[in-house]
Amino acid sequence: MLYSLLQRIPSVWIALVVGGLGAWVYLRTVGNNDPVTDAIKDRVSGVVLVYIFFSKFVAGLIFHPSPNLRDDIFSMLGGSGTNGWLVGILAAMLYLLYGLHTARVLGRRAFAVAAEGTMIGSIFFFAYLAVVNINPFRLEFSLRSIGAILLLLWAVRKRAQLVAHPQRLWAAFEALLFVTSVLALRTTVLFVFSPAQWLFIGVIAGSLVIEGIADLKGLPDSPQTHLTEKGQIQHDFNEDQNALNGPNNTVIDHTNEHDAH
Amino acid sequence: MKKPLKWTLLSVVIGALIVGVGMVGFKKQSPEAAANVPVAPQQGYRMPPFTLTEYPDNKTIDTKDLIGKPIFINIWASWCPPCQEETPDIVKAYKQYGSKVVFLSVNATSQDNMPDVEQFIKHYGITWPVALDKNGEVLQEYNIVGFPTSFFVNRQGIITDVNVGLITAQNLNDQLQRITE
Repeated sequence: MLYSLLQRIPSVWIALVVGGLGAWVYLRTVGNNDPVTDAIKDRVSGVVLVYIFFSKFVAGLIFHPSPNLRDDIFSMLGGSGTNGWLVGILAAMLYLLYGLHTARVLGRRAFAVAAEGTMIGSIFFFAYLAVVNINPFRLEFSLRSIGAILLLLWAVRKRAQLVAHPQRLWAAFEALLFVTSVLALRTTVLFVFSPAQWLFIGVIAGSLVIEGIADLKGLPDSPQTHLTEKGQIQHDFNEDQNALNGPNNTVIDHTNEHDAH
Repeated sequence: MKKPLKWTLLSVVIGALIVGVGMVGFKKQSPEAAANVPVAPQQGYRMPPFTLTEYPDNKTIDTKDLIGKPIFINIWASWCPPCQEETPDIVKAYKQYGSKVVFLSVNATSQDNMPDVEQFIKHYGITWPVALDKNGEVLQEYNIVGFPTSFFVNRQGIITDVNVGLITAQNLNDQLQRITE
């Protein structure tokens, strides 16, 4: 009975739940009441649910509105098509960005912590998919899981650099997905690449644009990259206080700057 | 690292990455490469072959004979409401794509009864081959967990999509169009 029920649930959904749980536990462990980490951790389950709901149910309404509106609600289940995942990813991204914006933590550190959470989630996500698939997909997912471990280790070692340039981790992660995507045959190809590969290229290109802007204009608040993690938290807290109370009420904590040196 | 050097290196690496992945992906689309894809009833794998008898004349249907043609496989049972709901759309799609795509209905005969199957075929006007899975071999081989289940297979024999449950007319047409390309 349980086996039958599990068979009816798409393996990607189970992998998402497993990955989301892994990311949540990791962020909870490393969070130390950091408001940015907490804001992302609190939205992990929402991201998973939004992806599933939008990719499976709402995508059908978006791609094929008329039959879904005309027919009964069950038709929505069969209407998502093969590109439902794209709608799911966009919806989950928007949900997270909006949530971080309303929590007033949207910024480079939020992108860095989200990238770190994505790495840990990906380790579990791809590991699960590697178990339930056979080659060549098993090899593809295994390499992605191992690659995510290496990227996470790099991110943890170079955390200050990552906070200043979160786009580098995102670009490296997308490059990993892009390279490993050659292992399995793609069934949908649009101008040489599959839609997923185009998405990877898009994120890499976006990261390069952000890197280019940083190189040309410099980082607006680059001093915080020299701070320790505690210092970055204090810096963000001060910025929030500035926004709420005006610059006169800024809490100045010089100890963090000393820590950094 | 100096900025010009950094950007030159980045351009070379990313350019090589895109060209390399593009070339390998292009080679993977060849029929020879598709022949090496493992067999499994999932998207991205080669379809498991099967042999069944056809209704009503008991002719043998062997999917090995269909290699090189796009195939739409619909697995159904007469008592299943979503099967009843989607069949008129499949009948319409057959009129449009029947000359380009092999339509193959597989009835789960091991979980159905012949009078109802015959009535279903007559009622909806199914004119393409209907194979009878009397022992549930295909259900087992294809890991069928619900009815209807539809498989779309391209010319290389690769499953491009699996739809468990009712398929909408729009989705059906999109997938059929995709496997004919």
